[in-house]
Amino acid sequence: MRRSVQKKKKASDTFPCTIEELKKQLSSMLQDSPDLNFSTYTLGQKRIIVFYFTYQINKEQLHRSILDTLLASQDKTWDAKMIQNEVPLASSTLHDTLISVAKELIQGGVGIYVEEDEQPLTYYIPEQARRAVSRAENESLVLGPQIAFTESMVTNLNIIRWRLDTPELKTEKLIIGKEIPTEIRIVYLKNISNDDLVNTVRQRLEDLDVNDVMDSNVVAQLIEDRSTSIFPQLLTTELPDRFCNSIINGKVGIMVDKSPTVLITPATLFSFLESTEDIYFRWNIGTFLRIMRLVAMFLSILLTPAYVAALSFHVEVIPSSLLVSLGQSRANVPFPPVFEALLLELLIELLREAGARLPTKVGQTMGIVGGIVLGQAAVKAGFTSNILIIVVALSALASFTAPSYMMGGAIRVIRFPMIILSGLWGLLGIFLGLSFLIIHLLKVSSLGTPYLSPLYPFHFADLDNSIVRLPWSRSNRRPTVNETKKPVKFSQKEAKKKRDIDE
Amino acid sequence: MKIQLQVPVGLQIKAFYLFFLIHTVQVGSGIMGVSTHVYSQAKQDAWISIIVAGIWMSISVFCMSRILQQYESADLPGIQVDIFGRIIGKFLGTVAALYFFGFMITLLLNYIEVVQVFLFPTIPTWLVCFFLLSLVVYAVLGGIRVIVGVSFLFFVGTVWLLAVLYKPITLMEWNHFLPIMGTSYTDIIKGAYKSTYSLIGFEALLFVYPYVQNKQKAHLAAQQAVWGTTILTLAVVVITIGYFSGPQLERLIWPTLSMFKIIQFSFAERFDIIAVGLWMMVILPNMVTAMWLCTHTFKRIYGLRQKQVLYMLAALLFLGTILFQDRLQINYFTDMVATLGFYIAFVYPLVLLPIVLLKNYIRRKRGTSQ
Amino acid sequence: MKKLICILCVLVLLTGCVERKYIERLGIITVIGYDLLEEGFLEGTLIFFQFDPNANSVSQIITSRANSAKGIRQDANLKSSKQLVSGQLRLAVFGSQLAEKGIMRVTDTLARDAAVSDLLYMTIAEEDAKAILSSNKMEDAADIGNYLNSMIEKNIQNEVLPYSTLHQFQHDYYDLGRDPILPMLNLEDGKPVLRHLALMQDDRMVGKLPVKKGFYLKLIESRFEAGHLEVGLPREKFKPYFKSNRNHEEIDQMFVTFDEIKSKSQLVLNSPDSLSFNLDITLEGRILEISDDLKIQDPKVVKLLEEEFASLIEDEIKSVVEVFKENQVDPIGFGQIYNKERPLKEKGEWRKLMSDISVDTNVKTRIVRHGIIK
Repeated sequence: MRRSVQKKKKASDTFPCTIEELKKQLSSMLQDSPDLNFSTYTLGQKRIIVFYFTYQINKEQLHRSILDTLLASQDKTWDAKMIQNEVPLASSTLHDTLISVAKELIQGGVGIYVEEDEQPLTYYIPEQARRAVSRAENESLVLGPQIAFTESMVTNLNIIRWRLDTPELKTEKLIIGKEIPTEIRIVYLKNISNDDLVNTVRQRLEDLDVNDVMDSNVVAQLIEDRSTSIFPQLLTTELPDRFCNSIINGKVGIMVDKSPTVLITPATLFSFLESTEDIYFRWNIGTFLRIMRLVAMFLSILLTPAYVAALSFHVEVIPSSLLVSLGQSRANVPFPPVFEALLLELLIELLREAGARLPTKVGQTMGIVGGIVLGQAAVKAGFTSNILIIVVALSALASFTAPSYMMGGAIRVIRFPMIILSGLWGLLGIFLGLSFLIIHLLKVSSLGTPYLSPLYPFHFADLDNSIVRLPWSRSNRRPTVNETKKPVKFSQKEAKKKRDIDE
Repeated sequence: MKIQLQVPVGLQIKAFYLFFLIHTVQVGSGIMGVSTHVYSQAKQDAWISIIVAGIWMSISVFCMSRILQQYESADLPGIQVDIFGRIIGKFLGTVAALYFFGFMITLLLNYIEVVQVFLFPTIPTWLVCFFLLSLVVYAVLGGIRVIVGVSFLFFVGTVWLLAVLYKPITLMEWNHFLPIMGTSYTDIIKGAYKSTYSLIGFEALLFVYPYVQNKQKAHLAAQQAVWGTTILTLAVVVITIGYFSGPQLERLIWPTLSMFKIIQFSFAERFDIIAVGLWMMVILPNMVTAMWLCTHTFKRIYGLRQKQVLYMLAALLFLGTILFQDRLQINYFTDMVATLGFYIAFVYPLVLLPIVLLKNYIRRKRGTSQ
Repeated sequence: MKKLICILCVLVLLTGCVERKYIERLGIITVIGYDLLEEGFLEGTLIFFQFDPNANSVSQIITSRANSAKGIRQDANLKSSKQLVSGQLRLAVFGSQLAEKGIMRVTDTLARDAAVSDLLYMTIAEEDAKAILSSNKMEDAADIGNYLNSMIEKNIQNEVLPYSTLHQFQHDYYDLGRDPILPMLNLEDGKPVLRHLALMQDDRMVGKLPVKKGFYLKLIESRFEAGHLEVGLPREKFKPYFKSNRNHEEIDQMFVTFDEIKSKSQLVLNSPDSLSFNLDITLEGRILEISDDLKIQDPKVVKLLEEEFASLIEDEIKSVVEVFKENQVDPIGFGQIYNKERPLKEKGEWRKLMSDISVDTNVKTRIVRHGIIK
């Protein structure tokens, strides 16, 4: 009895009320939106009002399921319970307050209120603007699945369920954002992922105190360990196969609604240099590609600084066969090598940025104009030496081989301080920068996992699938850094008897 | 001050890394000139001196680990307080900390001089000092995990320098080693003594022991580390003696670096310049570990905040380093630190072990009689 | 704290600059020549690269005088718009006058300077260093320095010249019981050529040895991997084995060229008191050319050839050692071997003993192939 009194008290703020009253209150609550549609029907003894945002709901469902049922017989006298029973839709909710009705409307609900009833009823039949699942644009692959995530969480979950159809897959739901709430899912395999890791992820996300979340990249920046670092600490990807592969190996994924990229954690430095294509290739080619990317990263950071250091300080180091051609190409240039190198690096960065901002068709032309015409002109005008053009182009190219756009960006930015250091203190500056970088990388961690793993802490077995790739028959362990519940994927076949020739 | 030092599991390191920690703290500025020092005493038998020093070192490490095994999880400052009482124990601990401080000064001074000779004759001392110290401070702020990482990664990053020495090896003359045992035993022992500056640092074991996770393997790792250093030093000494003729070797200050002068690649004509730059990465683990040992010891003894000690010591090191002006002063100071290091690393454990055993024996006796 | 770090960084950037050496503002010395003038003055000839957009040739030459090697650099700097640096020094040429007085005076500066490479080639000019460096006959090479450098480098690789870098010179100079040996540059019709090797007593040149005899020097001292030798053998002995008579009767020698010579030598001291050495050499080679039409498939001929070849080498070695004894120099390192038995105290000690040594030579030769025709 007491309970019903309380309930009545609470509900009595608005309900029961007349239809006109409801209309007025709801309109003012929703800023008198012109898109709010009210339709009133008189059925039996009572008037019923149906209201919704015209573009937020699926009209097909509204007509077929709700209105058809309601208007089937004009004599029935409806109440909320009856509607729930008769309308062939599952997603109905009863509300006590008007504000919760308004929230549901915004997200794509249809409100139904029977005049002077206790509670209004809503059906959730949203229609969201969403694009179809399409090819991956940013992480393009030659081999393997081409499908990419979209902005719609439902679609993304659908893809993941399709790839990982095991009951062990757990997708925990969290809502973050005080002003504009966003749905976030923590995705992992219950029987594989480390519980501590999942708890850490959950803890970090729950502790977030933010108004809104723009994108998964923002979430990544909000929950990472060391926000002062230049290195990305959570892996973002738009490829479902990459995401699922990580999850099978014991990592934890984070999905953010409205974002076409998902997050994988923990990420190590080497995971940013991996591509799923390495896995689709044969193991030896995959190994080659991985080592090549690692070398490319070093080249990209060190090549231009080495040029600057050699030409400004260490003439001794230049090979005698290169000395004359280097010297002659430098003779025309009015700037010191540091400035020259910075200028050219900046040029390349500008080209890249312009290419990324412009529409695809124009962007391509930009690249050609910038690369060929400007380069030629710069050399002709005596702005830069032509050897530097090769050096800078090589290091720019090398930085683009990083499969993660984030990591590529980090590498490109690191180059600038390195060039300045080498311009100031030559080789000493380069090694200073390099040492700093290594110490810094040692300090970085990704949700508690060391960033440089498996190099430090050294796990010999983990070198497989991070720096090299072994044949599938030998690669039977999940990475030890993930501390999975099942470290072994399958037992090594015992049929490894050494056979003699022709046996 | 507690005698035992309990370290949380998250901060513990595996004994495997102890190898790198001890090895890299040993190999640094000493190895640049070790051949000249040893050769000046032991002549063509310098390599025997190194082996003698290696054996001695091995015995010392054995004593150290026996001392440490007497306690469950203690380090040298704690043990000293336990053995000698609060005042003397703390005093001895302070001496050890100051010794690490001096050790860092010699490292800085020697490397800065090399940079000034090989790379930039005009570079100010304080600048290189500032560079190195800022890196050291940055690394030490990360704690033991980063320090071990620094020693491991920088070891991996510089160990390939050995492979580059194939060229001097092809130019070696085996005549230079004959006649074997041509010098007297005393000279060989003196040579071994001279080599100690390039070998000290393994006393770090006495300080990091509580941080080792699997303590039963610590002794083995430490032995491997000192033998690794011995073999490395031996290789360097053998190659330099074969490559340089005797009197030529005696005239060189850094024979190891001079050897890099004849190495050339098609992309880099002069490897010695690169090697000197790269040597920063050989020196850094040295300095980082020594700095951690020094600050940690102060923290242990006086209960100070390690961060504050770190900043203060860095400032003092900076000032201390720029006070030194010329080669003679540097040599004098290096000799002093080398002597102190010799007594701390090579003599002290041998003296301390019987005392510790005796004390424990007495303690046990008392325990049973009561 | 943050502010302090910022201030420190700015201070470092402002004050911590080091001397810059932009390549286009440098005169990069590649070859340096030293001559001794009458009054004890040194004359230095420097060949260096300088890079100017308008210059026809990158290579320049400057001559300057001073009392010391460093003084020469300073004086030369007064004569050039570029700052001269010695980081790319590849070759040093010492005039014969200076070489006779001793080259350590300038070599010490080169060795002390960390910028100078240890792989710098050391040579001695038969006349003036200046004359050789001023020569403009250099085939198609970019400049004279390049030409000289590649000529010497090639001949060292072909095992014609001894390895004569700055490091090797210092090594031999300081070593007990050994003397350096350096190649000599000479002008023939104004073109630099290699004709002799300079025998050095410590750092003083005391005699010459023809480059061809350098083969025997190397034969004694170390091993050949792919040597090359042309010898004249007495023609009379082979007369019975001639297939036809295409021969030039007026010459009484038969010329045989061997190449791909592989050798091993073993030098031992029999007894320290008598100073008698024993030298065993085994040598394998291939016949490349014979001036006479010989029945080469006959084992007897091959045997005879091998014997004659061996005895010729023995004779030559004897004569080379005689030259060394006369000049009291020891580029082979007999003294080093003596040093093993009886440690020498100083260099002069061996010099006195050197003239009393005797070498007993045994050579074994083997001819492995003789071309693609019989």
